[in-house]
Amino acid sequence: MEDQTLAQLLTLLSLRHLVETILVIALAALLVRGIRFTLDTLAERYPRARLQLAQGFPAIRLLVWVATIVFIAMVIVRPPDSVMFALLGSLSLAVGLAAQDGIRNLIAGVVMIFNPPFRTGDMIQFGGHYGEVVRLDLSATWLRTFDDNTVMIPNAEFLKGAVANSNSGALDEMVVIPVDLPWPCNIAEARAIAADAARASPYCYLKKPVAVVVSQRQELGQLVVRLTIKAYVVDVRLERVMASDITERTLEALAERHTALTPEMSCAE
Amino acid sequence: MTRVDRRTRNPGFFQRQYLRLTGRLRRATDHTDGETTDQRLDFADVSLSQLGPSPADTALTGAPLPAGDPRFLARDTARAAIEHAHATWREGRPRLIALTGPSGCGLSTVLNQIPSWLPGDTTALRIDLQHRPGTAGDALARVTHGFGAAPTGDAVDDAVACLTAQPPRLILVDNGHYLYSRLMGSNDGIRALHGLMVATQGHHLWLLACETQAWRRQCDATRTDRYFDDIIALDYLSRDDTATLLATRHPAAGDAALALDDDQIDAIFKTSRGHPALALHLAELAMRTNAGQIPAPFDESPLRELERTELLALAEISAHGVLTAADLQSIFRRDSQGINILLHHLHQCSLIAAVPREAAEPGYRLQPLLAPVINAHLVRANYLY
Repeated sequence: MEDQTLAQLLTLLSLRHLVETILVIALAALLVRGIRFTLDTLAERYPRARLQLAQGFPAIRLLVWVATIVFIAMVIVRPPDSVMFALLGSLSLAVGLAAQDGIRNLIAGVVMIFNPPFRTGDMIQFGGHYGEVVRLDLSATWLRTFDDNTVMIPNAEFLKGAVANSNSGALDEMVVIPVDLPWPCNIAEARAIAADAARASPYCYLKKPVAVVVSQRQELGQLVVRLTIKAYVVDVRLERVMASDITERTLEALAERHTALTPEMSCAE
Repeated sequence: MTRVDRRTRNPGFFQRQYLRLTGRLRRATDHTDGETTDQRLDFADVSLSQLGPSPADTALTGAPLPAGDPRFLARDTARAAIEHAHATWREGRPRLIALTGPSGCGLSTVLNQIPSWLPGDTTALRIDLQHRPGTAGDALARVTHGFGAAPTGDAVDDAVACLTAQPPRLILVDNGHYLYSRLMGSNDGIRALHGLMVATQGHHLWLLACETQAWRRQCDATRTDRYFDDIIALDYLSRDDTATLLATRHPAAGDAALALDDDQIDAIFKTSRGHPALALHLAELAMRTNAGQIPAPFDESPLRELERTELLALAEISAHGVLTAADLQSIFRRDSQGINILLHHLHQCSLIAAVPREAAEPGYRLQPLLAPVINAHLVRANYLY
C-alpha cells in the first residue's frame, strides 16, 4: 500500500509535470504582465478612462491565476481522488495554521474584488493615511500619499474599520478648503471672492458647483470667521495643487481689497 | 528624454507596428540621425508645412463665405430652427438663440447667410466681438455703438432703455467665445451683456454664435443655457458634405482629370474629421503631389508628451478662443517668463498661433487647422469637458 502511494506521488512529481507546471505558470505570469501593459498603454492613450481601466485589472488577474491553478491540477497533474483529498486536507490544515493572517487577508481581498469599498485610482482615508489607491493585491492594498510615501495596508483591516472614499471611481472629487478670517470682516464680499477664486483656478472642475460655507469659531480667544470653500478638482491627483492655488488666490484678493484686514469695512457698518 | 529619443536605427517591422499603434511612428523615424527633435503636431507621414501658407483666394482658405455665396453648404436643420425661432419671436414670444459649433465648423459663414433666410422686412445688426469686455460699460458701449447710439455708462437699465427705443432688430453676435472668462474679477462685462440680452429679448431677437468649448464653459460656470430658448448645435461636415465641399470649392472642381475619387475623399474625411478648411488643404496637397496621395491621420505623440500645465493652458486657450500672455499669467499664476516659455514651446509644437491685434498685446489661439485634433485629445485627457 505504502509502495503504491509512493509510486503515485513520484508519478505526480515527475520531471515532465514539473516542467509543464513551470511553463504554464510562466505563461500565466506573462499573460498577466501583458494585460497590465495593455491596460497601462490604453490608460496613457485615454487618460479619461484611466480609473475604469485600472479597476478591471485585479479581477482579471484573479481569474487568470484561478484558471491557471485549475488547469495545472486538472489537466497537467491529474492526481487520483484519494491523493487529491489527502493533499487538500493536509494543505488546508498546514496553511490554515501557519498563515491565518495571510489567508484572512486573501479572503478579504477576494471579498473586496466582488464588493469593493474602493477601486484602484480612488482617494481614500483609512487609519490615519490618506492617498490614492495605486495597487490592489489579493492580500494587501497600496496607497500613495501626497508626501509620495507608499503605504501597504493588509486587506483584512479594511473589513474591520470605516473607509472614507473621496471620489468613488470618478476622476473628479470634492476638495474642502478652509480659510480663516479675523472678525470683523465683510463676510458677503469675502464669500464672493472665495467663490470667484475657486472658479478662476484652472484645476477647478466647472461642471460641478462651487459652494462657500460660512461658520465661526474661537482661535486663541479670538473670534474667527471660517470660509469653507467646496469645489471639485478636475483630477484627483491635483487635489493639493488646487487647494493651494485657491487659498493663495483668495488670500491675495482679500488682501488687495482689504476685506479681512480693515475693521472699518466690517458688517457692522 | 523619451523612449523615442534614444532610437538610433530604423525601427524593425514589429517595432514599426508598435509605434504605429502608439502614434509615435513619425517621431521615431525623425530620430534616425539622433540629433534633431521634431516636436510639431503633424501628419504621420508628411509635414503640414509642405502646403505652405494658405492662398488668399477664399475658395481654398477657411475664410467665411459671404451672404448668398452659391458654395455654401446647406445647413437645413439649423436653418429650419432659426426660421422657427424668428417666426415665434415675431408672434411676440421673447427668445434668445445660441448657435454653437466646434472651432472652424463655419459659424461665421452661417451667420452671414441668416439675413437672407428670413423675411425681407427683417433688419439685421451684426456685432463682431473683438475682445473680452473688461467692464460693464465696455460691454454695453459695444452694443449701443452697433445701434449708432451714444454710450450709456455702466448701468444695464440705461442700455436697456436705449435699445428698446430702437426699432426691433435681429442682432447677430459673432465670436461669442469672448463671453467666457476664467480670469478672476473680470466677469462684470459679461454679466452686463447677458443681462442686456435677457432684458431686451422681447424687443430684439438675439442670436449668439459661440464655439462649443466656450459655450460649454459658459453653461458650466454661469448656467447661461437657462436663458436661451433655442440652442442650435452645428457640427463638422459629414462624409457626403465633405465630398460636396470638395466638389464645389476645390480648385480642380469641374476638371474630370483632377477630380478626387471616392477613396481619396474617404481618406480626406478620415484625416480632416469633417473640418472644412483642413479638408480643402488636404485636397490641395493631393492635387500638388503626382500620386494624389492623401496624408495619413495626425501623429499625436507631441500632444502626449506635453506636461500637465501645457495641456491645461491649451484647454484654457481652447475654451476662451483667444488668450493673451497676460491672461494666461493671471490664470496660472506664473511669472511672465514662465508663460512666455510655455507659449513659445506650444508655438514650436505647432499647437497655437499668434493673433495680432491692433494696439493691444497679441493673443494666442489653437492652430486653426489642428483644432479638431487638439480638442479631441484634450477631451480624452479630461482637460476639456
